[in-house]
Amino acid sequence: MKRVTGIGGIFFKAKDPKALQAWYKRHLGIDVQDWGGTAFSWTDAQGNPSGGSTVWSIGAAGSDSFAPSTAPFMVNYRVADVRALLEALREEGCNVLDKLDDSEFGKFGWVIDPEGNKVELWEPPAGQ
Amino acid sequence: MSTISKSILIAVTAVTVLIGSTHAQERAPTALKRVTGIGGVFIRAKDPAKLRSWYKTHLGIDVQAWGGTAFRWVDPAGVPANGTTAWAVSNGSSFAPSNASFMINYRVADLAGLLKALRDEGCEVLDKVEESEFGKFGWVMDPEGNKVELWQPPEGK
Repeated sequence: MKRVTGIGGIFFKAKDPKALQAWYKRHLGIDVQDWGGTAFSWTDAQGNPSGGSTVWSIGAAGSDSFAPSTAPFMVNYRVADVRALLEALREEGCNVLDKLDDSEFGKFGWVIDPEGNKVELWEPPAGQ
Repeated sequence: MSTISKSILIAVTAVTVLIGSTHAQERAPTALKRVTGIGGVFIRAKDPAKLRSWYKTHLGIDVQAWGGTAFRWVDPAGVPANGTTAWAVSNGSSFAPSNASFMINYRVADLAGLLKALRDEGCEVLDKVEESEFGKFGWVMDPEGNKVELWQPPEGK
């Protein structure tokens, strides 16, 4: 079974998210949106968007968005079939969270790695 | 139109083009392209070998001897497009002076130009710059103490 195929996103927390977002916008030129991050389009050799993207965002240190992990970051991994992968991970004895999100952004599931990092598994909508 | 006025017209046009290109060069610094994408995500682990093995077994990540892998960007048909996003698990020693548990690598178009701009803007740029067959690397600390890796990939990568 095809498991992870790429990096879909990287999210991290800040003591002062607004200030840190502003720093990345000003100095690194990142087009930070109201929701606190941006999606970088993958590009071809000519610099044209090729299809996928990698999302980046900064959240608040106090938020529970990575719970039950206490890590200050979370990586989102692209997968081809999230339901099948979660089932395989359960059978393999991994710490899979019960929740599964399904929206216009795709399907999301989560597993905790052995060092307590929350791993986000993302099946993008068809064609993205 | 007389030959003289034609010559004047050509001269004026040439001067206008010259002025135009000078202005374009003057504008260049403010139009500096900075970060263009995510080049890599690096995770610090207490037991890197064990954690890598978990990601290999359960998430199917093709972890190489150096501790990570490079995921190729693809088009909707799954054909490799051009760039890559690297991923690795390590003991985090290369994140110093940051003690964060992760480090992000950002793709940039012009590393030297960006490092100079960041220095001019008062950012904490590290002195070290690396250049190898993998491209050019420089580093800046963000205001919360995260080490930010800036990477200019080799031409065409």
